[in-house]
Amino acid sequence: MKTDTPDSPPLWAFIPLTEYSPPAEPVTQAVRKGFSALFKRFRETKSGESKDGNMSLSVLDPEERMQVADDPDWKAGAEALDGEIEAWRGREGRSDSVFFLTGAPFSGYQEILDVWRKEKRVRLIEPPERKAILDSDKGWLKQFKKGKGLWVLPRLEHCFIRHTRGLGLVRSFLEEACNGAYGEGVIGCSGWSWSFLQHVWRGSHLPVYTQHPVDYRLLAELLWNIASASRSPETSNSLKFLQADGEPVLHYSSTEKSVQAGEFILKLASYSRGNIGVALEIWRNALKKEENLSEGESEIIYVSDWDSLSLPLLPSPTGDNEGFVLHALMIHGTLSYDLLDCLLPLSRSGISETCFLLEKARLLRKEGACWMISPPAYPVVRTYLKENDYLLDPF
Amino acid sequence: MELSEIGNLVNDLSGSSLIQILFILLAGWLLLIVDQKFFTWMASRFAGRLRLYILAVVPTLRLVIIASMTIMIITRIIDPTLQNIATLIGALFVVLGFAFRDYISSLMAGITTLFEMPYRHGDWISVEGYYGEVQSIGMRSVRVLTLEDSLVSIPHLKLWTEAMSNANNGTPDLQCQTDFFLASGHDPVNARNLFHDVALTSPYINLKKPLLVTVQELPWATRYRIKAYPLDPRRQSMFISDLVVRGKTELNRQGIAAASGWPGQNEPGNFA
Repeated sequence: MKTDTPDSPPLWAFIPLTEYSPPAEPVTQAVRKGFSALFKRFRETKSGESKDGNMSLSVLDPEERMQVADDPDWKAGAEALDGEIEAWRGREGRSDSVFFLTGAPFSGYQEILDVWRKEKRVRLIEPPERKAILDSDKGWLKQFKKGKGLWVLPRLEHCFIRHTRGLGLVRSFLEEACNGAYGEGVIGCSGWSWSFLQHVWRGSHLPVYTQHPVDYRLLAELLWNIASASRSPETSNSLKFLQADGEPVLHYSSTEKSVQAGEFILKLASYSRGNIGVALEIWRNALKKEENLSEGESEIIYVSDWDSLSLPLLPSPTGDNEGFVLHALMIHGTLSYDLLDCLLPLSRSGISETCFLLEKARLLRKEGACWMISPPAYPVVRTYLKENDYLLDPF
Repeated sequence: MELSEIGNLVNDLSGSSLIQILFILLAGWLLLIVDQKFFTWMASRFAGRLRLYILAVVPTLRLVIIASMTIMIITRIIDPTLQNIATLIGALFVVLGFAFRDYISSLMAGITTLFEMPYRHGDWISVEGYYGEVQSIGMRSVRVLTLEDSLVSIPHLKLWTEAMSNANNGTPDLQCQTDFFLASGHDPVNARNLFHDVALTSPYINLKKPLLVTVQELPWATRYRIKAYPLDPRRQSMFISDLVVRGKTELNRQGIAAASGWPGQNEPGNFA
């Protein structure tokens, strides 16, 4: 599949949230996913069997993996964001004083915002302490008035707690910020938090921006750019990503002079809903190499068959406890035991048991003392929450 | 109508016809059980609207099975002309109507429920003080699982005579009301906002549905009523418990006093 068509949007672009629509899913993939989800309800699903055939393939070691599947260069994204922010600042007759950036978890908007802030040396506002949130301590708001010029609050989801006492401060902040009391600023917030905050605060209409959806063409371009970044232009074009049966996954066609993507990339973009972080994590885990290969021969990287990927699944049965923990983590990003205990109507031991069950199912990951959703599990968790009527993000 | 006339309608039943009728009855009975058990089991694997859609298949399929059984049996007993069928049905109703008046009435009401659908599987209904989720709708009665985990069998006959309320009427949206009674002397704006946030932060709440806090002044208290929807109607008591616990915790923390009494509370026999 050729990836650059004349109507392809740029890889890094930001659009108003109202114009966002998730990348379209191929019909065959949608039907397949529907049947697969239906069967999973009635039986335990075994993880995929390897279809590596007669080849002896082994996983890439972390160093090799980062050579071909490192994090993207967020600078290009930061430049695109800067263009959007500058256009917003220069707009005539603009009444809003806050530029609001939202996105799905792991989609890269936070990294882009961080790089943009550092490049432009914009004043960073750190989120308040937990005690200040629970006490609605307005002292945190004073720092917005201290300095002049643009400020950035990159993690609005860390400025409130979904608790009876945890909403007052964010309400006051949004009220003041949107009324222009703090001058011009940029706020970053996860889509899940923003969905919830719209029930907490119903103030003036904000210009909310998000990344352009990443379809399979853009994803292929991104993966190829990452893989070829560490190579010289001469060697990068000879790099090939193939499946064990020789089916091409991603390569550069010198005749077409473009990156060509196979069925795997289509499935990856569809499964990850165009989420860069989710797609990259799955991509990294799918990469393999031929065993006993000497240095300099790694022109071919093998990619596991899509059906043999061991993607996380929800434990069966999944009840209220699991749903509550997963939804709380979606809204807040990361949560410690203490905070989960504070937010949920579950016993501490119940929370502990649920978290370990979800960790065993590879749905959760522990970062220091905090729990978070693991990126490859994000699509399956989102689907579960959607099926059970939880409040979702707009992505 | 002479009994001999009715007798003339009936074919001579051979041994094979009797076996066929027995087989139809047995097969129909098995199909009715499968219909009840299979779709209920399948619905338990899903949540939300899909669960209710699957449950709605049960009574429809039952009607089809019963109608098919009746037609197949009648055609084996009599010549299925219009006159013969009308005569037979008339005679049967006269005889059975006297013998099993209440039972027949319940059966008829049961058939009526299939068309009028005053309650469906998964609905939360209240009849004669029994409130619970409709677990199964039989030919004669509806089985309701109460919040106390008791299974109550209510004859369809009650449909003719009793008022019945249906809290969700075939949808997964069931509004719960939670009342708080506060003593005078508090700030009503603060209290209303507090109860709004109590509901908003409950993990049980369905935020896609409206959330409302109403206030009413009573002679002995100010009543705050939270009207909100749980994610799953089956969690309504847990939802209300969560609202009460977190509401009272916050009231205590802010030092807002609950109303301490109500008119007539000390009168004998008043335990309200």
